[in-house]
Amino acid sequence: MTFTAPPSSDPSPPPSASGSARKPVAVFERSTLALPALRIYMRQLWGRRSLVANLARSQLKAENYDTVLGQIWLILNPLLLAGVYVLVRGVFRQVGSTPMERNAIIANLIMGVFFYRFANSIIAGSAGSILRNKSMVLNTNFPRAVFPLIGVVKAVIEFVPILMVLVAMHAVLGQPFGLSLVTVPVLWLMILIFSLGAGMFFATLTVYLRDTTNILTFVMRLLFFMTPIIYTVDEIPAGLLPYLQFNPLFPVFWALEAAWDGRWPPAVTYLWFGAWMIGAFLVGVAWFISKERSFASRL
Amino acid sequence: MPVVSDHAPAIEVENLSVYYRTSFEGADTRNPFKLLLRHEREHRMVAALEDVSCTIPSGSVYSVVGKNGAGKSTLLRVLGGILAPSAGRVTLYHRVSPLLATGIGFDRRLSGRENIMLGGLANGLKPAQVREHTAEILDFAALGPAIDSPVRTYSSGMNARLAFAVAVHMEPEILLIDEALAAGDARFKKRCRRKIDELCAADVTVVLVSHGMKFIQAIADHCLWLDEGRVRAEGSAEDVIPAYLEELEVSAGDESAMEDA
Ligand SMILES: Nc1ncnc2c1ncn2[C@@H]1O[C@H](COP(=O)(O)OP(=O)(O)OP(=O)(O)O)[C@@H](O)[C@H]1O
Ligand SMILES: [Mg+2]
Repeated sequence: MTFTAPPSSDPSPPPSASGSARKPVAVFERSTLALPALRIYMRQLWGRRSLVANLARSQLKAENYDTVLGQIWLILNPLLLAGVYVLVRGVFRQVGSTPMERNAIIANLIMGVFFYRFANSIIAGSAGSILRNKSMVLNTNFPRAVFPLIGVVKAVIEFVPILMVLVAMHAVLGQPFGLSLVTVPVLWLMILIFSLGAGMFFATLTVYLRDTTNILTFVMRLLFFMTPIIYTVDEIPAGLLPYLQFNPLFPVFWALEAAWDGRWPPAVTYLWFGAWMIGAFLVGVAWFISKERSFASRL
Repeated sequence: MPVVSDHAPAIEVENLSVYYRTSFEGADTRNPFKLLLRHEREHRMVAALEDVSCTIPSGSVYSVVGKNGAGKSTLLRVLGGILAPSAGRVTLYHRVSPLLATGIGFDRRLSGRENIMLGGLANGLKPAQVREHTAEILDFAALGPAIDSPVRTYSSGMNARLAFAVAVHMEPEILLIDEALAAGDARFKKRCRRKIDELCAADVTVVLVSHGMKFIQAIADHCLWLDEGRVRAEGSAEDVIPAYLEELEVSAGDESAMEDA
């Protein structure tokens, strides 16, 4: 459909097809690859911001309705996961040679697990959002970007308690609260934007190719081990580095590791991940909104 | 709401066609190798609507009738801006609020009250506007204490009541209703009829899909008869509905076609 929706305040209505002088509110025609008018799209999307917030909140509430521990799982889940990785790492390799080194590695590992979960929940959540909300897609007409955005808002809400746990762990493990930590919010935001773009890309792909969700699960698992989380950048064997560099998330977790450790992240990590971020966002968003008008006929 | 003359069109549909693309397994899906390679998978285009043209006057109750699979829901989805036409053009002169199928299922784990808010926001209202209407909606749906239990515990009639109550209170200019009333009881249908009359008096256009012929006969002034995706007849309800009923009676034998769905 082409949304040719002129603002109703425009005083000179063009003649419509029927010859009547009234102006159409919307004209729907065969959908093309072309992008809808971005300004109108953004206005419609902005008009649904309360819907996004409400749906995110209510879904979070409904998800932990039936469990005894309820919202506590939001923190417990990633903490237990981090615990498992510390354990696994300890079995294969001594965790650092001094207690100081050990603590630094554990602090980095916990941070990495939490941040990776954040990225993963946006990417996987967005990717499945169109299929999961099939009945809403078939029965409502608001911009489809609402669905991936719900996942982003959920991930952000979930991250707030996690951040508090992270800061507490950082203090407990005696890690430095250096000035380099100011880069963390920037890196976090970059992860968010990258993940939204990637998620919207995969959401579109999923509508055309249902196998995407299955494949994506494994890709995200693989990328986790290709990211400096359960190991540090220094520990990577030189022969492996060229392969790890294909992982889009590699540079940003490299930067996070440095920032967390009280060092300034190398500039190359920003540029490198920044390129991925811009690319993923532009491609993901453009593909999604140019295809979203045909989603309903393929569900 | 814009003031318009009596017979100005609210919606114009010109040569509209809609095709669904579906894939399905071929005949022999027991062979695991064939399944693996999906060579047996076929694609088929289903023509749900073909070359449909009609004009829906504003302030009218425009009914769409036809057998199962005739394309009624598909037409409403296109009018609601949910499905893109495969060919042809649809022009809307007013804002449209779609209430399709069992509309309200925003989150069936949440209570009816919470779903009212979600429904309103999905229709483009602001939270304050929805709160303004909540009392009326509760009053109209008349669900009693059930309004605070999860929607998944509702009967289909209760679902229909809530969905309809939300839809008619969304300040619609064009209201699309697909089978939303079928499950309601007689008293609720009467209430719906009064509400629809009220809306039409306020120049709201109602496009109504239903198999409840009694209900349609009582309320519709225009009728579009779809048959396998094509227009069989369009015109005033007095002309089209009897013709449709006649055909139903022929194909249904001695069972009464007038029976409400
Ligand atoms: N999502 C879909 N994918 C593929 N085909 C579809 C889809 N939805 C509908 N169809 C097909 O399109 C045709 C019209 O369907 P539609 O739902 O519009 O019928 P209807 O008139 O609403 O029927 P009913 O009275 O049973 O509600 C049918 O042949 C149906 O099989
Ligand atoms: Mg139908």
